[in-house]
Amino acid sequence: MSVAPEPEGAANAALNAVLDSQWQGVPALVLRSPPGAGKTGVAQRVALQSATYLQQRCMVVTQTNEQAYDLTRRLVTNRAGLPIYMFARKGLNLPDDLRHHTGLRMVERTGDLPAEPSITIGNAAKWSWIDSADPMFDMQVVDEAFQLPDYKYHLISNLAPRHALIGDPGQIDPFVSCEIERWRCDPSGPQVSCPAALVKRHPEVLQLALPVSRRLNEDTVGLIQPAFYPGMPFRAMSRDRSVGFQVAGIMPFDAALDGVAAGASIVMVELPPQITGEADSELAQELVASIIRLLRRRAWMSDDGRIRDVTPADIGVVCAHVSQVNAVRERLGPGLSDVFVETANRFQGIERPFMFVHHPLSGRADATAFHLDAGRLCVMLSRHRIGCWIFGRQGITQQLIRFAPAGDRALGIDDDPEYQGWRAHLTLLAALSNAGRMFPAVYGLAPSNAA
Amino acid sequence: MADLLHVAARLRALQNSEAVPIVSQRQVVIQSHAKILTLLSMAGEDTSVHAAAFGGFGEPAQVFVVADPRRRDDQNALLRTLLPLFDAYYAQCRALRTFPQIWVSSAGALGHLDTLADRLRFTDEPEIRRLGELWTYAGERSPVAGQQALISATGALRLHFATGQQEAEDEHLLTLLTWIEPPRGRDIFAAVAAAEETPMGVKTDPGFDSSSLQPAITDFHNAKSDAERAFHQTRIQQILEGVVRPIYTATQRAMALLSHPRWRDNPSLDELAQQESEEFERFMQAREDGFFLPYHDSPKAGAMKIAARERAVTNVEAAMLRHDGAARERGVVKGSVLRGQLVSIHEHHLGPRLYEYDLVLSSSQDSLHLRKGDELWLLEGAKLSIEVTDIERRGPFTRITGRVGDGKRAAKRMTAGPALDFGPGAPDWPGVGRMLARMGTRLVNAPWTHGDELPLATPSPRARPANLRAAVEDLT
Repeated sequence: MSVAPEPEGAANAALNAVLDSQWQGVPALVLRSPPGAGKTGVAQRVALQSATYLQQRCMVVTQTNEQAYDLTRRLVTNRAGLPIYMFARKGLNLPDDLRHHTGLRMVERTGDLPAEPSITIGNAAKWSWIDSADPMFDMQVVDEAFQLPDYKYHLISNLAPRHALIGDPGQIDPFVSCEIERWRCDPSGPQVSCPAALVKRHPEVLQLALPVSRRLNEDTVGLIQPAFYPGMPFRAMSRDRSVGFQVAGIMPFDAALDGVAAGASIVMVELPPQITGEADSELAQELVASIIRLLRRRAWMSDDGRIRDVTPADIGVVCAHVSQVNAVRERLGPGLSDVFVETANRFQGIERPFMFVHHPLSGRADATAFHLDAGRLCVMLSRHRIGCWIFGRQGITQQLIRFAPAGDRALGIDDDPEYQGWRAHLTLLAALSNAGRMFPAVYGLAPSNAA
Repeated sequence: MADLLHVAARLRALQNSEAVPIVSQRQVVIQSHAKILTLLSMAGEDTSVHAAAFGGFGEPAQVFVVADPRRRDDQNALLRTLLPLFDAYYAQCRALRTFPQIWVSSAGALGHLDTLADRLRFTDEPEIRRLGELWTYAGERSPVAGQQALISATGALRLHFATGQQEAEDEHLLTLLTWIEPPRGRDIFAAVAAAEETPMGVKTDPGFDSSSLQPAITDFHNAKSDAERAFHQTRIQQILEGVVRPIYTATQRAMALLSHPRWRDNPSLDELAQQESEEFERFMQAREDGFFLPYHDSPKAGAMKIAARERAVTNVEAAMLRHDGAARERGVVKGSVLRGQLVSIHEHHLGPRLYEYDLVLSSSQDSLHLRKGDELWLLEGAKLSIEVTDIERRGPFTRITGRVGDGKRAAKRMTAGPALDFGPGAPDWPGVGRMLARMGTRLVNAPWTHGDELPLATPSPRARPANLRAAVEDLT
């Protein structure tokens, strides 16, 4: 009888396979990664191997400047002393820590791109402006590739003959603002994420998956994996994540805090039912008050054996809409300015020990594809290392039942993201309700029964 | 929830038993030479044309009917009759350096025309193929933001009015017109119910089909003589004219309502008209140059089309926020437009003749879509941009600080007090052409990733470290 390797061993074996594929010279590798599996670390290692041992010119594609900065920070400290190039527009306002780094060289013009083995980082938009139809690199690494629509990948794919597309297939699909009915039945259409389109065109390309999440703990993986990654099993690396409080709880929200301290990594905090629209000032106020309560109870955390007090920088807030982000930010005040508040789209690739989530369906009278999107909910519920509190108005289950997806399917497309999202929302609410993880935000409010 | 103004307007329409205008400016270009095309297909034959009504704005319809569109020769004869009408119209528009505009009754009729265009393009008959190509211009433009080539009357009216019925019900042109011009002294719902009895789509009523149309077609096929056949042909023509003419007339009425001087000019439409003329010329030139119109896009064509559509969305939104009052107010409610009172202007002297300016605005909006680093442009007056450097909540107000980029001279002359609107930059229509030209260069060689053949693996000949992972980890 074979024994499943320990998480650490499984993660190492997966990395070995990825690095080895580059020595085999495969034309393309699609690497699927669950949340927090260290995919940016893999991109870093693939790029370093490419430029050093394989002596290649390697271009790294990110989706945003922030992602480019993050990867650059990891790469500029490489021990080989390899200079890292950043291909960016003139006048780009670099973060302070990168601006004066001696290992970073800025490139603004195509003619100045390095001709020797090297690593050059740039965002997809910048790469697409190169006036050349010929390859200029040997290797192309695309980080967060599932966020890149195929038509944008098309614009940059001929810059290198070999490709590694690394990303999380469970997150938010690429955002396309225009009407796409023309390509709706095309599973490799220009609006589809580039790894999915590439695999559809060339099913023989090498596909690998990372089997371990370093960020999520066992309890969260138990909720997230079946709901959002049914075809992609993965485990948690860590068993040692916890939070505790030096001050006992007496306020309504304290029960939700104590629930996480008792080992429930995801809980829901319910406000009285109300149709509020996109901006819900009461919910934003409650959410901020809860953050303050977390800190006032002098929380401490244990994260993979490191024990310390919780600070505002350990806390993140994720919302569906920018207006909700603003509503929270405006209420945080100067003492909590280190709390990171963003939309789900911009939270991709970012983690915090503790997350506060504004439920995307809270306070709404309808349930649109945007708010049902499984990818959006998955991002929101997979940013935390220790604990996650979901804030929402009561009645979401009833709302979901009222707005069951119409089943508008496209010929030739197997996926139905709206239905998958609807199902994931119901599954999650039922799981939280069954496990007694619904907590009222105010006294006298009975928890919802979504089971 | 995104458009509370529209919800409020629909409630008001319900309360008043009459549609309410939701804009004061015209939302579509109406070409004086626009043509109305009303097509009827046969039940079960989605891509057929059983009857067609065609005419200019304010003109009576020319009606063409075939006894049975399933008889291919008859169907093609009808389509061949339509070809010279469109050929002449397109040629006239090209000579005038403008664009053709076709009005249909509803979104369903629009979809029917689009489907027909796709089908006719691939027939063996050159004339039919040509008609399909001409209609394809309208069909391919219809999903593009800001297009003015193919207009559905219901879609255009809905941009101007809100009714008290559900949005899907607004797709019936006659009920929509009934809400806009309700009969005096009659209950609106009774009037709408009566209007619903009249077919306004691309199909005839099933009851009518079984009681009138199908027997007439059967009689036509069973006719023993040419004279008898001609009699039944005329009978079918008459009964279908009774269906197609009211749709044509309702479409005319929609155009007349939207041409009324009550609708103020909308400068953003001038840009859209110019853009449409250029698109039309490009399309016709490509046909003359022999470029094929495929049914499915190649990856390259798909990439270029979707990129152009995305830029069109951005440009149309930017244009509307600048020139259209209702769009601006919707932007303020949604938070995509920052409306704030200018509280103060700070001048920073950085060196000899080197100044920076910060504008501080106070806004009472509670749904602002703003982030630090966002670039916003003044939507009226001087050409001035700011980069948002700080956002802070103070009681019921949000205080926004922005560093002036373009327009420092204008900023220097500003004084505190006025309310200002900031939003996205001005539309850049020539930028679409520049982008497509650049994409054409980039994609001249099709990459293997978007072709048919997967290249072979090419193993590296270099010496491989014994412990590869450890060797790479040592580099991090």
